[in-house]
Amino acid sequence: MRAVQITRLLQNLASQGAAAASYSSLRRLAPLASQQSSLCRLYARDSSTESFAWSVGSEPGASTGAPASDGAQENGATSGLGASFKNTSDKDSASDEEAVDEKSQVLRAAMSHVSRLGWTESALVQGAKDAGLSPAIVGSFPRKDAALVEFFMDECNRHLEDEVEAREKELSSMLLAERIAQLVRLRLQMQIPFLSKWPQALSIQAHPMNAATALKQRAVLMDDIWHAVGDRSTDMDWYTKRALLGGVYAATELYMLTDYSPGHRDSWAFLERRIKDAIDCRKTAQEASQLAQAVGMGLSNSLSSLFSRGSQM
Amino acid sequence: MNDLMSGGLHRLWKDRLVSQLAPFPGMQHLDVAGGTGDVAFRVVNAIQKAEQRVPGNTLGSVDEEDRTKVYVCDINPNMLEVGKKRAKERGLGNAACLVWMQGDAEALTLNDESMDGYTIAFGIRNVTHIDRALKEAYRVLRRGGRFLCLELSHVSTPGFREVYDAYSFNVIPRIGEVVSGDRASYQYLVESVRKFPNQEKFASMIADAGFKDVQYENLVGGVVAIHSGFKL
Repeated sequence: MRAVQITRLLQNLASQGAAAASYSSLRRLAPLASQQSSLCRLYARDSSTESFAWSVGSEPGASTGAPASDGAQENGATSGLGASFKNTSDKDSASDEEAVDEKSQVLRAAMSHVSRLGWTESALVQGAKDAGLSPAIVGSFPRKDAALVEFFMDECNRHLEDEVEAREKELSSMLLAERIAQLVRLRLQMQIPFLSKWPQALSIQAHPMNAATALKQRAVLMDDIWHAVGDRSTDMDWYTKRALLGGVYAATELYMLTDYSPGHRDSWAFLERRIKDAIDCRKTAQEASQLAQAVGMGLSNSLSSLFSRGSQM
Repeated sequence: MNDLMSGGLHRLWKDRLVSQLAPFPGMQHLDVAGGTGDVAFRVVNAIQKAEQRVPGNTLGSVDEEDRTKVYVCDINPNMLEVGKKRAKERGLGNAACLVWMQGDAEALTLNDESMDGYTIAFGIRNVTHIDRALKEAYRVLRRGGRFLCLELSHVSTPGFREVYDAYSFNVIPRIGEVVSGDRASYQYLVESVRKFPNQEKFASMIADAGFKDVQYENLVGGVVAIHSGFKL
């Protein structure tokens, strides 16, 4: 419940005109907000500078989470007036944060065992041992295998956003199709180290209990890619673009599973062909609708001239 | 007697407790006030199943199996005897992983930070100083270790509470009288359940002892609750 409130609050902030560059940073908060509401502390609005000073709690990636353009501070103290939005009690939030810290430590350490043990509880147990914690902590993950897969997906998506910011200049000089291809390729390359166990991850994501979260992560990823590419559409196009890209991404992901070419070059060629198909698909759809419009106008013209001639007689 | 009072449900409750624990090979586990071995046997079985699941390609797996130890601690030596007998019946009589020890939950003889898991099933109600027992649990668990407590608790659903009260105060002492000739003990049992702190209060006591991420799960609408906390 609290997570929904935070996300709505952040969306309101975005619509009230926070800098466009912070959109992706706010987007970044949405998956965090869904994890633990105590991660996000919204502080007072600083009326003198008309900017929001906020910080993300002790999540390991916190240092990269603050948007530079908004001048956010990491350990900002509550300043002055306005609504300060904090969790129920200091003790609760502190202990929740610590718990989340340890859990993400375990997940991070478990990743190094995934290529050997798969996305399983035993990888988590090894991760806990590496992190210096008793493996009994694995019991705190409600859906153990899924927790590992979701953590990896979130990490990759976050890493992709960093890459986008780092390569802004390079991307702006490319054509749309090339830009999309480059971003999808960057994202899929992050999965290459775990490619041998990726089918297991896909089956975990397809499980009914995990499907909702997996779908949400992918939807956010498609949105991020389109936004990074420069899409600012606000009508039906928004949905069709993301749906098409989702199809292209999924197809390439599956293709990669059995691609043994050097450097996965067959996959990248496949990706470019699919993007071309998607663009052609949209062009065809547009042309079809234009053709339908032209035919309709022609018909209505001839019909109206027929009836007018008829009435004249 | 447990079967009669709970309609056989106590087995399912203990199954749920152990599945929440998620035992792993090489675990050091302590079961307190579990002299008859119910929870301990379940933990050993779960670890054996987990060993079968892990791909046996790591050389370390054999060592892990040997390191598993489940300590069964009870203040009453007779209960421990019953437990040892039941272990023999199940073929775990000579299992190196089961260690039977007599001890007091308020003053355990184990080393600091030596356990991965601590369970206490239907026992903490009978401990005189619950906070001392919780502090001991915190002491013997290592970082990341889990505390789990299965205990009869309070029902708050309006309609069900009356049914449960009627059952507790009328039926249970009668069964005790008929089956074991001891009405008074079962009357005391039912009253002690009401005296025990409710779910939220007990959760805050666990948090006071130092545990983090304290949660509880109600079973059968609150008749039984599983409280869980981590030492972090």
